[in-house]
Amino acid sequence: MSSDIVVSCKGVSRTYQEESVPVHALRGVDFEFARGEFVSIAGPSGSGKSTLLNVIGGLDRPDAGTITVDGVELNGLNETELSDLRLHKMGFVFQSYNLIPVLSALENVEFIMQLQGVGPAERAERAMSMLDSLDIVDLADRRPGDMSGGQQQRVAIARSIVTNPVLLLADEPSANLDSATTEDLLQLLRRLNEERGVSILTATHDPIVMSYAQRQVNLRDGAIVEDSAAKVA
Amino acid sequence: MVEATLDVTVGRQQRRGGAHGIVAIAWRNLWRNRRRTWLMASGIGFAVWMLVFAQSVQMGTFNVMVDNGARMSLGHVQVQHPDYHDNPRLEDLLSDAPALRKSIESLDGVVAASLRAQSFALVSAEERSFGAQIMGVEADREAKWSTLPTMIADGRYLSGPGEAYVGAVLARNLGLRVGDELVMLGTAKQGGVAAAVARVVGIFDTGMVDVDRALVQIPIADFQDAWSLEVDEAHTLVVLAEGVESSLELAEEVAETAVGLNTLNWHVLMPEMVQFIELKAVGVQLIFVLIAIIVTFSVINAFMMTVFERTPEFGMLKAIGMRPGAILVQLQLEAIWLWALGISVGIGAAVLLVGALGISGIPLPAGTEEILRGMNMPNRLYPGYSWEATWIGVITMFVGTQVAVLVPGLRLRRLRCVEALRAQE
Repeated sequence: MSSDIVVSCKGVSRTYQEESVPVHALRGVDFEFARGEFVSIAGPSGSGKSTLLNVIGGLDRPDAGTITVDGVELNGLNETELSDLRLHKMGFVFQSYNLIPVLSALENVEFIMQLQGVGPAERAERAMSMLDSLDIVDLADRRPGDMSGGQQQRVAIARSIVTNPVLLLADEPSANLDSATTEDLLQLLRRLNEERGVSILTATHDPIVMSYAQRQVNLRDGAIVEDSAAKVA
Repeated sequence: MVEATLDVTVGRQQRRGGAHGIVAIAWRNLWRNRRRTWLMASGIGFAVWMLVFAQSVQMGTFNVMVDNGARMSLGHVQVQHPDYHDNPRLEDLLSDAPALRKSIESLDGVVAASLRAQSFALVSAEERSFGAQIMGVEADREAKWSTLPTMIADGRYLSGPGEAYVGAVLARNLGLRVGDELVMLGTAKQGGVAAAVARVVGIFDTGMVDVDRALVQIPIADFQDAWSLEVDEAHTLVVLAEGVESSLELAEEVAETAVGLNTLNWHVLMPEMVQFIELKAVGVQLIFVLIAIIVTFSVINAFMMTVFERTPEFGMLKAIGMRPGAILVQLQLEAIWLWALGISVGIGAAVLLVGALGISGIPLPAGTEEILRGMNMPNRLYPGYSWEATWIGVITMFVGTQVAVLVPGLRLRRLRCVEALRAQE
């Protein structure tokens, strides 16, 4: 496999049981994602885009197929190994921001480095530097409850990339934001992608988000129906 | 498998690197719902307070009872011949007893010490005879610390040779009055007849029939003379300590001084009292255990609510790479903070209350003065702070809160990120 490939999915399927009725969220998806790409997975509700993001992120396990992230095949990993993989190779941005409410913005960004065992001085410096690069230093001492949705999402992005992950996964990052804030956020993601080379994979049905991505993959009924690979830079 | 960059030390790093972080988070999490936290902490505090306070009050009562027993006759510590306690034979004596008494008296914490010699004899007055314990005492020393010389029903305590101080029931059985003669007949040390005649100078009434029916005190010199003991021989050296609490430590010091002899502390001297205290303590501890169980269940309930409310947050923590074990540790730390808060409240309240009542005393119900005086009890009770109860309370509540957090905490191991994160949508 080429070292430029960050994510590789081969024949990935996932079926849920909802009230004893099988729901085929993913049907044999084949998908590759190169380092430095900004890809949006689009599709209507129930098309399987969040499920695809979840199985790539190791938050869920496929029923069939193989997924490889940065050369590591996820199928053979146990829960602890998956946790460690997420901690060291992935960054997550959630629809509801999901910051730790009792920590300030700076502490939220520092927290993930604490889990990695980074020393106090280094993590404080890196966290502050990250807030600075995202123009949110003035939020450093504020807790999530004292921030707007857009500000919280920026802190969530800072948290997700401060560890220099090989992959940033963003599930509906603009779902709770207004248009102007969404634009700001996407410009930030684009800047991170272009300047820092962060590989971004986002699941969305927001046209604004799609327009910022270099490549758009459309899902319908658990299968890829369109892949605008031509847009890849 | 995971490649080399994910080395096996990641888990250790997570535990070490994140340790102080999750301690702080645990503390802050405690205050996300102040009312619930204070309710839980108050429950823990109440359980600890209840145990410590009840045990402290009991300890105050027990101290008075033990002290009464010691002061009446037994002392806090006794020194005897090694064989005397198990089989009290006349021949098993302390030799050079005055010198031993002098060396024991010089120890710190000894309030008084006196020698005794004793044997059983047939006591007669006119035509009536009964068996009795004849106790030779150093009357001038006994009068300074023992309460028996103060329990006079008639007459006075011993002050010179040829005198006898007799229990009220025995005096009644013999038809004795102050001034009458009492004849004592027993077996002397060499097997001969021990015979003595004494004039009754006082009759005592302890309220304890067994004592009042069978005890006669005479001067130790008279006893030594009649029972053929040497002037420096005695059966028991009775030692009074400053208090019950310090007496056990004193007993150890006495034992170091009285080498080759048998030193008995009040636990050995008053086995019935020890049993009574243990029985009472079990009662208090049983009530405490019931309260602790109720508190534990309320803490379980509260943590169930916590885990339920914070499921999306735990899902997020797991998603970003925090191990389930570390999340459980965070919850356990929250329980430890809660426990620390609760026991601080409980111990603080107990220290303040027991401290205040230790100074002022707890007045006992009006109208009981006569009864209490009869039992040689004070009319106020002074609780003595129970460190034992404190430790029991602290450890029990620690275990209780940790068990309480494990019940919902173990569910976290089965928590699936996707479902947990979806719980907030």
